[in-house]
Amino acid sequence: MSFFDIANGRIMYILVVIGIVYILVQNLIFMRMGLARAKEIGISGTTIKNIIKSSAVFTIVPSVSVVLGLAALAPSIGIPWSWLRLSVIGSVSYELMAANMAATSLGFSSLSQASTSGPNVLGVIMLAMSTGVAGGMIMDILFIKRVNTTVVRLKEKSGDFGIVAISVLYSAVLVVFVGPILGAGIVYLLTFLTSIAAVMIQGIIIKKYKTIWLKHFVLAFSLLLGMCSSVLWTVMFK
Amino acid sequence: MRTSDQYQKLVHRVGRISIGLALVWFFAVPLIICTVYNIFPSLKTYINASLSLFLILTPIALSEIISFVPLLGSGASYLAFQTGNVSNLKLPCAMNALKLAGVEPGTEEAEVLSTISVAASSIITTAIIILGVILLVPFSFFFTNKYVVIATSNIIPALFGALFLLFLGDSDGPVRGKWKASVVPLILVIAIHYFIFPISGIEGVVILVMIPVTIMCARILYKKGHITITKGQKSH
Repeated sequence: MSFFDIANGRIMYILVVIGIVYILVQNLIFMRMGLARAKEIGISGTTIKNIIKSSAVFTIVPSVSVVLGLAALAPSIGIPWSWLRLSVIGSVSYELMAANMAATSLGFSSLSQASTSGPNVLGVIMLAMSTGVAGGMIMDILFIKRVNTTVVRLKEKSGDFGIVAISVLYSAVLVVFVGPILGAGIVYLLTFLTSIAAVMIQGIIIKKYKTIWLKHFVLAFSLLLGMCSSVLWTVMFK
Repeated sequence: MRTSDQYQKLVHRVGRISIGLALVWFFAVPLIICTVYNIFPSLKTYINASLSLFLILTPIALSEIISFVPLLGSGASYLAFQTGNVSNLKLPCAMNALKLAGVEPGTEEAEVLSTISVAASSIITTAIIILGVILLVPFSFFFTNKYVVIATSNIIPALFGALFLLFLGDSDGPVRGKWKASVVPLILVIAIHYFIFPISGIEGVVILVMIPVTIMCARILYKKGHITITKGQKSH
């Protein structure tokens, strides 16, 4: 049996589908818990509906890029294992890196070379990829509660400044991603600026024409416009 | 009605069990495959292939927990860390949801709304990946189209351009002038990335350093009156 006979085999698909169903059930359980609590604390149905709608619409475009990650990973480790990894825990960049690292540590020059060498390598790569994320999952179990409790306590202790401190936290995340974009080449920079311009233009439209519904799609539309503009910038400047 | 503590206890219990079971399944799949096809590696090969990966990914995961849990809250964190793509999908999605509802992270409303937002986002992502798996072969021309590849490889600047303006602006929420707290951290990130070492791939660790820097800047600006709070602004 070859590497891909096993990697794209029926048993692999069955095991992966069980994992995907499990994740879908998890999502539904958390959604139900959130909705029940929202009702208890008096969050309006309209707010909930708007949030579900905008979250769903925003998610579509980045999810297509996850599918492209699947297309990149599948030729090397098969469709089902890539599918599970990109649906659970993984992100496109980490999974490609993880699979490549596992392959190179076995002495292969690349992941694609490893996949042509026989079925034994598949077992090692899968086990290594699972072990790689196991530490993070154990950390989640141990520390999410601890971090959350500490933050709530610190916020209460800091009074009004606690609100300010929490509200600027996301700025720390943003600057770490934005800093490298600014000098990563003309296409990256122009795509970044187009996306900013898209937010500004939609802001003006919302204000001028009172199109409140548009507010829920500003992020999704800006993302899409920014990505589409990158094709134009690439054609013009590369 | 349950108290906030009771709800939190439930979230942590469900979250820990669900991540524990996912971890078991993550190992069960390769172990079953190795058993059925008799392709078990030797212990030495397994350790060789796994150790560096484990040592790189575990501190990144820990830094993401410390950085993202205060923003996401506990329910959304369990779900987001379990379903992946946190910084490029789940976190922006939850932050956008909170902004639309006019609530700041760290409140009970935020905890509940970000859980709903991340759950909705995860369901959509899972559904789109399922569609992708089905269409991968017949629609390979689409996934390999050069314009599609260009557009998706530029998702990061497109996403963070929009987020940058949306979140540093003052349009929603009670805190005014918070963008000022990000000026020094941004200059620091640029200096580190271009003059000391590239931060790509270790963003989680750098965020961990930038959080206290940003809070310190915010503290100084708040004391000097450059950042202010408008009380009683909530939209739901």
